[in-house]
Amino acid sequence: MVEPLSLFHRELKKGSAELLILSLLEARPRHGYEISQLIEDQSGGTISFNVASFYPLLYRLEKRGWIQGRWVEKQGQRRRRYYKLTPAGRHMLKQQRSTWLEFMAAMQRITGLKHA
Amino acid sequence: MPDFRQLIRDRLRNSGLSAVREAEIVEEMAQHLRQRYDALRAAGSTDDQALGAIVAQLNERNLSAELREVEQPASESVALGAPAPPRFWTALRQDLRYGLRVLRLSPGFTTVCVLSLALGIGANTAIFQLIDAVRMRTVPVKNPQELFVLRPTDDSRSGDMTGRYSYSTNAMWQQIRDLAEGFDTFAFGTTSFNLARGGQARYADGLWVSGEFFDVLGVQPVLGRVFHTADDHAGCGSPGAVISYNFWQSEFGGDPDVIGKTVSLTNHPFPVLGVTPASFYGLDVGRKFDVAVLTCSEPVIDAPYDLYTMPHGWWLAVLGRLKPGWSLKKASAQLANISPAVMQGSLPSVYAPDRAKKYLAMKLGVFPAENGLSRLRGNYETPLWLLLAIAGLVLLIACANLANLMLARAGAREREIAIRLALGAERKRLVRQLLTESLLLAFAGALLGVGLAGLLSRVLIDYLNGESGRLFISVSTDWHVLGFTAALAILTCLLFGLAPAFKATSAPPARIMSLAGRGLTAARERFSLRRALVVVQVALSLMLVVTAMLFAGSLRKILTVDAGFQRDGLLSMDFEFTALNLPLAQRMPFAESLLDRLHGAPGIDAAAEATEPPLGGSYWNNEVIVDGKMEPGRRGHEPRQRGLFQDHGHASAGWARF
Repeated sequence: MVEPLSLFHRELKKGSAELLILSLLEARPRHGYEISQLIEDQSGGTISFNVASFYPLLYRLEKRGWIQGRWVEKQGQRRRRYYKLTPAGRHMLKQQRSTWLEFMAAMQRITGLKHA
Repeated sequence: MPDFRQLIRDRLRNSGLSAVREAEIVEEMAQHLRQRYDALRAAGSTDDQALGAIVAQLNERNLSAELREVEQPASESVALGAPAPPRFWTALRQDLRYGLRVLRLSPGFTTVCVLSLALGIGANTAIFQLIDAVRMRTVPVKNPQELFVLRPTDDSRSGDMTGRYSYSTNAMWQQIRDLAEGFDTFAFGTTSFNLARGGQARYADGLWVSGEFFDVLGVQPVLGRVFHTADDHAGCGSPGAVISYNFWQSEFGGDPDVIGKTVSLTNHPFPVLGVTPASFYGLDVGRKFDVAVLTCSEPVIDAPYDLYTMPHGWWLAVLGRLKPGWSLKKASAQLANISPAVMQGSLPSVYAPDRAKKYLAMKLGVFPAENGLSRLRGNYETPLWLLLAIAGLVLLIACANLANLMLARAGAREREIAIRLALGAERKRLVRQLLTESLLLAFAGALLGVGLAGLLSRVLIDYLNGESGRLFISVSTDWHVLGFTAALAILTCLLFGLAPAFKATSAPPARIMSLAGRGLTAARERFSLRRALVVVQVALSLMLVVTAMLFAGSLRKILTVDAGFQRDGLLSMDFEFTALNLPLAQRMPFAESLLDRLHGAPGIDAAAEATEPPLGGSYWNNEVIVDGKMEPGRRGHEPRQRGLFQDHGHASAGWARF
């Protein structure tokens, strides 16, 4: 049986995963490992994704047309699959940011949550 | 290092993914796991701990199920060794992308191939552009296919022939105009006018045109008006001139008030009546016209020896436009019917009986004129085709060279090709892939070649133009040229790509794989093909070198031939005296005084004058008078006397000294 707190944590991750990935691809194209490491590093280890759910998530975003993957070959390196944000993904990122801001503002008003 | 690919592959069983998609996911996720493993090891974990952490994480989720939610299962399973054939365009796109990637990985090879092809295709396209301009392009008027030229079918003309198309006398043209029924006719002649009112002569390309010229051609002016039939009548004087768009720009700076301003034509003022559109350069391919004047104005400029009234003055080209329902054959038949009447009505009275008999027997023929008239075509068409053939041979050598390079490259890629064959790739698919690479090279070469052709054709035109600078050839990249270049690209692709593609895929994969490890190549046949290609290259090169040597030998002979006079230290000049308006009686004395002054000038040993200098490109054929007496029975007509000379003494006394 999954603990309630763990379940809450998982649902939070699930809800924010798309925004996290789209945000990291906003600046430049990145490969999957780099994206997952950046999420882990920049969240101070609070957020990390299981590789078995992370890649299906990437492929889902790709299917929706928000990101686009492309194999890139570089001299002396194995080819890697890089993902970049599409115009539709950029539009979605903007919308999700705005929704999250409204959501967090509402949460603050109700729960009294404040930045540390 | 653990086999991460296998770890993923184990978890993708029954995922329903296509083989290609599964391979992609395995490769991508295995790379991720490898990096994760390295990071854990770097952080101090042992091999087992790192691997254990990764496996544990993988086991937390059902990768296969998660992927099934996202990925649509392949609509049909593709078994290795029997790939479902992709649709044509999809396959072509794949081939193009793969070809581009392969060529990008060999920049040196790609550059050499593209440059070789660009030079070969560029040279061919440049020459074809010229052939297109002088031979294939129609004249810029409405319905050019209806135009034809009328001219004698046998050359029994006799008299004074002036201009580039001296097919008709004025009397003959007027007879044709009055008797023809199934077609509209017009006439024009070529000339040059001196624009300068004094000092150094400055020439403009001129046209004598009949009143019907612009109306039958359907040329509308952009300013003012053009000539009409009513303007053209004997004694019309100098009613005006119609100028071309280019002349309007260069001589009048595009002045919108140019109508009514005068232009001096060989010292006779003509008011400007109108300006023709920029697209109309006349009917003379290779020349443009600057000023058009009515034929009836010719006596004003050329009096007293004008061609308009001279019965044996051949100076006009007569053209016709078929009326609706008429064909060239029908027009030809009608012309055959009216020919006797035309000849009878225009028989020069000065002709001797034998000459008159020949004239009356002369027949007029019709010849298509949709491509205009061109002396340039007659002079250069054959040499241009010859040049195209030589350039074609050079391209063939380039193709043989490229085929050799492709074969050498196929040797380096034989292992890759063998693996693909062993994995079940069809041979025809691989041949197509290799041909796509050749096609990419050919089209890149063709693209660069078209750019190069623009420069090369301009160099050729400058060469043909010489110092006169009066040649006008409008070279443009129209659909003729683009079609030719595209056909050339496809042909070259097949020439240099087909044989290597077949050879590269012909050896059995197992044999290649077994020999490749030992650094050996199996394709002995490939070497025999390469040897054959070298033989072809050497043979073609030898042929071209021998041809070039023969040309050089001929040129050397021309340059060293005994011209019959001393050529060193000679300087020739053209004199234009019309601006002086000298009376006829004073012309010879003036010329002689000019010669006397030249004789006395320092640095000049001798000076002489002639109407037609030797090797000048023109000639004067007429009866020879010995001791002032014409040979009895040979006097056909009075020779026309123009310019400096009062009689047949075309060369001055000092001429023989040269």
